[in-house]
Amino acid sequence: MDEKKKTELIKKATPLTEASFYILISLNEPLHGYGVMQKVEELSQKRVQLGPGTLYGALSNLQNLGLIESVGESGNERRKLYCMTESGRMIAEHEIKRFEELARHGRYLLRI
Amino acid sequence: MKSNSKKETKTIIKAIFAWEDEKEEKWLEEMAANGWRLEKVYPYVYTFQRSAPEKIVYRLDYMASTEKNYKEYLTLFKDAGWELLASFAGWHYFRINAQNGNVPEIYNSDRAKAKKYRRLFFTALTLFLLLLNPLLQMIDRTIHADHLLLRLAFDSLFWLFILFAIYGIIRIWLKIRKLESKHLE
Repeated sequence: MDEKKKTELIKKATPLTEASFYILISLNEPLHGYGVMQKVEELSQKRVQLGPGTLYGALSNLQNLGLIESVGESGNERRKLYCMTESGRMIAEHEIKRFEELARHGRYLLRI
Repeated sequence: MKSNSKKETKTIIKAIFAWEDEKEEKWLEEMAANGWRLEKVYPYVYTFQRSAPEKIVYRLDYMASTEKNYKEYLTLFKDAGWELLASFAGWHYFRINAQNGNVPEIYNSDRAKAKKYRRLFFTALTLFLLLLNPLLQMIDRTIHADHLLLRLAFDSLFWLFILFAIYGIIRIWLKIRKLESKHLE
């Protein structure tokens, strides 16, 4: 991906909501929708709850942005499996750097 | 074993409009708390069955069945434990048992919830604009009708419908504004 496209995508996709960020990083491995729901709950120790309406909207949005893609189906009920794309990883890394900057400056100014 | 007790049901006809979905959810939850479990729902017609008082959470969502990932949408709700009771005209009636005082939600943020009303808004607006021209033509035609009283009756009915539709669309739009305004900095 060239720099110009990268900048454009960053501008379009970020800042991610907390829910979207958790969904995106969960999809570092292929998971279906309910798997994402469980993983995010586990990672955040139930702090971030994902209702099915929120999850459906966030999955559609991330897919439209090209940050995740459907990579097949699993199980008897043929649930869609999603996975992070290369662009998705780039955006996730960009967001992590941003969070780190926020935390660093916060710590520095509040002396903690 | 076969139960002989006849099931007690009651049917209620109630006019609740598209922008009053939260009021409708609350009403259905109160009915459940009073021992009336929703069995069937059609537009404006609700059939309840006598049950023990239950703490049930009802949620109404709006999603067109023509949506590309509609099957996926239904699977997500099912997997998350929500029972789909009925769906018509894009409205979906979901319910789930509340667990130890915990009220499950289908949307966890106002921003996500606003998307539901955006979908509703665009469908309502499209439908209205599609119907507007034929309706106005009908009004135009009645102007040439012979019977003055008939003409007046038809005209007022059409205008009432048009004004009511505009009112509804504005109500939905205001709801979107309210939900999304909380995110302005």
